[in-house]
Amino acid sequence: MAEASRIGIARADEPAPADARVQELLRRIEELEALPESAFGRFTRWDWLCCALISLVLPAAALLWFGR
Amino acid sequence: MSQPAAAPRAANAPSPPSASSTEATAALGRMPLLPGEREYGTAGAHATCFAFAIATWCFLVGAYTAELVGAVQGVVCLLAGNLIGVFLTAMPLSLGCQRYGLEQIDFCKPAFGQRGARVILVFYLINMLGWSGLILVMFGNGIRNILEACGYHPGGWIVGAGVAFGLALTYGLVTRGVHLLNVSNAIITPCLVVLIGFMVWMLFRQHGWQEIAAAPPLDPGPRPWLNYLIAFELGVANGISWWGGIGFIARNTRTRRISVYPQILQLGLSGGLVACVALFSALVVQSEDPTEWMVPIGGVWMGVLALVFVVLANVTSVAVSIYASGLALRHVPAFRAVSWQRVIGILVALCLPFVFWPQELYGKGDAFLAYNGTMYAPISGILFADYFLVRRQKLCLWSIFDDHPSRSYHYSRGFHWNALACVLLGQLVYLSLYNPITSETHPLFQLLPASLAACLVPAALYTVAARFSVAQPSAATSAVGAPDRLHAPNI
Repeated sequence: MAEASRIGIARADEPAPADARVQELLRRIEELEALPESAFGRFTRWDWLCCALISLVLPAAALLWFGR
Repeated sequence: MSQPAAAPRAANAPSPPSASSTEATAALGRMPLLPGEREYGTAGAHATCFAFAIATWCFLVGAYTAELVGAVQGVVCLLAGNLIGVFLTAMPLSLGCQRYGLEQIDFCKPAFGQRGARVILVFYLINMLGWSGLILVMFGNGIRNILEACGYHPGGWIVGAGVAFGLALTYGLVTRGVHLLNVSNAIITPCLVVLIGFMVWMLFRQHGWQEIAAAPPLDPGPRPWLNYLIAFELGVANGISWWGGIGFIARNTRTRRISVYPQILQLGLSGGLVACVALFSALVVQSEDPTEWMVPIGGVWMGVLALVFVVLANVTSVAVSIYASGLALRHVPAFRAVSWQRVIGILVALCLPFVFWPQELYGKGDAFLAYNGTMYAPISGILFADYFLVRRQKLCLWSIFDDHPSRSYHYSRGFHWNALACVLLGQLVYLSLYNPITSETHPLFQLLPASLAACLVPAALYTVAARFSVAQPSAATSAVGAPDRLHAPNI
């Protein structure tokens, strides 16, 4: 992001030459495809359970309770 | 609100992005972000999501809810609805955009096709520009109320003139540079926290919970249970409105957990809590216009000071929304070669109806909020089904960034008609259960909220259709069978 911060808006919003952008895109895709899943962190069944509890079960229970 | 990082929410909200993530996106555009480039750790993601969550559109959502229900039921509807809406929207977008470093319109391409994703872009722009217009009218109302508190009575025209002035400021902010947005946001967000804290303190000091809880809703319908369900519907629509900003933040996070929990806790919980403060204010003052709350709650001087600040905060929110919309327009080939000033000029021009009919459009704000549910609930359901059930979290980046017809996500002339038909069906399901324009409801609305039905029905149909569709690429062929070069790059 340091590089991102150095790029002014005028240049950032006026896209770079097409060839350079495609080369950069190729490099990024190759790098992302080569990375193992562990490079992006974990999200386990316990995380799903926790999120479902906070965001679905408890709100639905409160909604039903106060809507009686 | 989308509330948006534009969405900026626009976002919340809509759902708008923070200025810092906007800067990153400006620099890297649609390029997939590599893990080392991502800005947000746990604290950064929570702070950014919190900054989105407390933006001024929360005031509007709380005010709309106050029309229908009192404080206790309003708190339940806003918190429950917001959390459920954010969950449905955030799970596929957060985990998918984080894993592949994609912004959200690119993330839609596997499900909707290369050109089909542009249909979603239209919904995205409607969301962003609609919220921007509503907030600008709030800006105009704020100017009018400041003048009235100072003893001047300029008449109704001042609101439209205020909207025009706000649009001019927005154009200047967005075209002059992201650093201006950064500076503006760095001042506005802490001040918003102070303002909301001040409102809570004054509300409970002067009125107390008993009075707040006893305050009647502003304009309820004849059936209390229906008011309760519609208020919940607004809460869900508010949560789903964050669609515009969620991918923007998630692609900038370092781990999967950081991409999900801050969205749920801040956009879902904190955003809901701020909307509750607005709900209390609207009930106590008995007005749905947030700019009319400050003087009665805080007294003339503190009220005017708070109003000035809300007015400034609104311009910042709109600027981030318009900025994110401008970036999103770069998906359309015709806009890639157009100058940034012209792109922003077009977006600002699309907000001009709010200059001429400010109060008429502002009055339809609750219907617009509900319509966000109509737009995004089916999309969220389909993205959920596509990413988790159909593709098992495996996308092909080569196909996302390649328009060539041989690619997996090209489908039929760039459109995945199954998915788009499911969106249409979801919207029809929503409107048949609850029409936000006329407020008519179907008896089934008591059993299944419209947003949830509009999310679940298309998701189920899309999953079944994917099992039989020849055009549907399997996860294996998408990810492994792709040659490592681009035939028709669309960057």
